[in-house]
Amino acid sequence: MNQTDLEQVYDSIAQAIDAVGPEKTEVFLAKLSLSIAADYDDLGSVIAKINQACNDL
Amino acid sequence: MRPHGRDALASLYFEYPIFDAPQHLPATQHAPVVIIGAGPIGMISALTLAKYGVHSILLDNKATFNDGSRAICISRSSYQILDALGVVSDFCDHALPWDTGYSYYRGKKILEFQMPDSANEKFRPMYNLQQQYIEQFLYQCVEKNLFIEMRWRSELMQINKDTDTVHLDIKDPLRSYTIACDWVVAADGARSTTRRLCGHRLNGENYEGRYVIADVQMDHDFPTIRRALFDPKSRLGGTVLIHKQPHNIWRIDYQLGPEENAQDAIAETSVRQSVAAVFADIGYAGTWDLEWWSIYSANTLLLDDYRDGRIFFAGDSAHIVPIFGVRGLNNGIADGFNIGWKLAYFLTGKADKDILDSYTPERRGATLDVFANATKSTRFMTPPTQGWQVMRDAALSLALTDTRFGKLANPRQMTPYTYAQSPLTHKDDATFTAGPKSGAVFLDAPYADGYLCDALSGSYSLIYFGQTPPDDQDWCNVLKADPHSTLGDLYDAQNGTAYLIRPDLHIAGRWKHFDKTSFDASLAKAALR
Repeated sequence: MNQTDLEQVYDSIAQAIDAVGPEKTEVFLAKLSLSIAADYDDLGSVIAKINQACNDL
Repeated sequence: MRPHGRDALASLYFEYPIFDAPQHLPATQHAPVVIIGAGPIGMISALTLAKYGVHSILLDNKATFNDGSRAICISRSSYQILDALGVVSDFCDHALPWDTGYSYYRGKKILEFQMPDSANEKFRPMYNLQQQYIEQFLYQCVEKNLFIEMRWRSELMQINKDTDTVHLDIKDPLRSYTIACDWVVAADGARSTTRRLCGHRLNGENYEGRYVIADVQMDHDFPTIRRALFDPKSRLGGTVLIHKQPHNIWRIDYQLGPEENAQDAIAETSVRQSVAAVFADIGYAGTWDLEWWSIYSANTLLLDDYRDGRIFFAGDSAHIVPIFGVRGLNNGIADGFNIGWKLAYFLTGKADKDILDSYTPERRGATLDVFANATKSTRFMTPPTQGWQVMRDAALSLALTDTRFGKLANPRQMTPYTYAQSPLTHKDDATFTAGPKSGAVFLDAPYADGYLCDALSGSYSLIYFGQTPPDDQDWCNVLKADPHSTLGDLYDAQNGTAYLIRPDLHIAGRWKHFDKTSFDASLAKAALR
């Protein structure tokens, strides 16, 4: 994905988090992760991304 | 603000001159143009008018330059304007050029950005210089200029407008009097008196994030590279920006947390503690002295119209933009240059009054473009809501191991606005695959023994690539160029390609294959006579 598209994704998720509100944010982000992962063929790289996301929190 | 025991103007490194009000005034008080405010924008307007031989009176209610450091970043496009006005040399001698920025998250570098630069350009992408020097260098030229009459300590009290004339009531320590003038440029800043007297107000948004801005003198061994520290130890959850300025002065901007009280935060002890904490972050252990500090929050505010009849608003009187991306001063300079040449063209009979109608669409358009970019930077620097905060934190955290996310922290430095929709701009020729588009600012390149910017004279210029250029026109200089040169490559030129460049260095039109009929139509398009 190019930089402009990535920025678009960034903006859209930020606005969606505000739209769903703090109580639903967690479920919203989990749904989003799961549905994007479903389009991946490669389990290994999804697990690697999960691990990466756990780091530096 | 300055440290306890030091006067408002007691700088560690700059001596503020004190100017008197004029002792004698001419018997008749009439001027073609009066400029309110002798900050950078007012002086640029006056110098631009003077370049074309138009007299102006320049008024300022203060007795010296703006105190404190304020704007410090001058962009390449502003240097090109200073050069066109013949005033750039002091700036080149004193300012610090730079092109690189580093961003850090929790102490680790996540982004190195580089602004476009090459030996093809006369000027570097950015220069750091304290605002009082900017004003001093401009004033040295204003003072010598016979077309400009400077009046310090002269305050605008009232404005009366009739169809052909604007009457300005002025008060100085010696007298009160009225100036009748044809045109006014209001460059009197964010708290513009002109704007208030005309009954206009700025509209737009205020952002929550607050920053303390402090200038510090220290012998810190680090090149002129802008640093942004996200979530550093000194300011957990906040952002710090660090810029180098001449005379060992460093600008430290640090964000206040939502729980911090502004009044407490700007107390000297608190500023000293916060600055010391930032120095611990960057590993500076030497001595330092506090020069000046202030508090700031981001705004995107502008006037609905930059013109009220015979009054034009320029710089902060017309718009307030966020600091991130260094657009306040630079857009103001472009405003002053824009209205300067247009008023001069009209007043010297080179253009019809219609040319003045293009000021608001061009410069207000530029402000809206700034807002679009600066809003993105501001959202990253001071996330306004939980959504932006969560995404910012996620991007920074990912950036520690993946550079693609570091790029989201890119501050989007100032780029000049393209006047694509302006009434003065020809529709762009779509057959070009490179080169500056119609309405864009020109692109510098080697030309003859110097640079293209040296050959642009202040009138319209036609750069013709090839051996058979059209004849010189009285409204337009014709410059011959080689299509097989660096300039030709950068402008996507072939034999017979031509670019028409405006006096303010924007492209008025371009033709892959020069078309004399369309070129002749430029005259009417630009409202030229």
